Amino acid sequence: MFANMTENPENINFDVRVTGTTNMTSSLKAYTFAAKGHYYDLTPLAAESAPKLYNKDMEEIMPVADDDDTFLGVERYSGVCVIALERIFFNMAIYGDDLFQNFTPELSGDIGFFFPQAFVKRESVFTQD
Amino acid sequence: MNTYLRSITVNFGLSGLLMYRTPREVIEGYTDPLVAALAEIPIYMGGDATTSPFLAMNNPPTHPPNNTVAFFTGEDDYEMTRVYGKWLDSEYITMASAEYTSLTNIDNITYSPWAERVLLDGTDGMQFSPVLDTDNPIKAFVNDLSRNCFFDYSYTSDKYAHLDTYMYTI
Repeated sequence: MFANMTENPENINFDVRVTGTTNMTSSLKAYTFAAKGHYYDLTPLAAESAPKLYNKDMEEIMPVADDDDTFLGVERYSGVCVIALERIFFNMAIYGDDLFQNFTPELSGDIGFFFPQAFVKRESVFTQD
Repeated sequence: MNTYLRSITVNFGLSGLLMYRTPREVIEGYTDPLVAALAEIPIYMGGDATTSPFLAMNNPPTHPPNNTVAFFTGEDDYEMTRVYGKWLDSEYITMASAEYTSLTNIDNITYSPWAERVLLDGTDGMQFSPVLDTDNPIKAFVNDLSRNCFFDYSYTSDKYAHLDTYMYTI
């Protein structure tokens, strides 16, 4: 799903270029992509493209699987979904083309610089009550 | 009068509705008078000579001891078999499904449910097939990603006592 199109040929249709993201251009009608929360599982090749994210105490937020990955918890025998944790991070990519020049450091032409748009966090868990 | 005629027909024409047979007769055989009478009557009069009137539980007339039917096993030439019917234009049982070949193009495909694992397309992720195993991914449509996503087994959660909750990650 989040592998790029050379790693996973099924993603050729979706034009996924960076491992750890998935292209949303056609469904959102904008040059957007989705990543896991706080760029969890982003390929190290794109590490410089991802902005650093800080909390209110100016401490850098590091991605953690428990908070940033998307999970489905399914009861084994019945197949009923009892836990659904969706964490999806929408971004736009700014490429170092004619429009965006003279940046320090320079914007990459292939991967670009990621511009965070929205973080979607939907969580639903069955309670025992 | 009708009752009387019916009684005459049943008791003298059909030798009565009830028969009393010993267990030995039932197992080893007896001649049934009605079937015997039918075997005597010519077929154009409504008779039936194809069934033996000798009925036995251990040698039923519908189980001929020597029949001449041969079964072709295809051992010599497996292509010498006959096609009796087709399902979805195929000689093998396949399942019809649809597959995205691009974002706008959906092709109809068929595949064998025995050779490949069949996953439901477009499930909303509320219910999956029962008795999950950890080797195979589950598939659900994620609205925010606008795609059907594969979820791979990650770990088993012990959040619910006495329930194995398999956690799958995207």
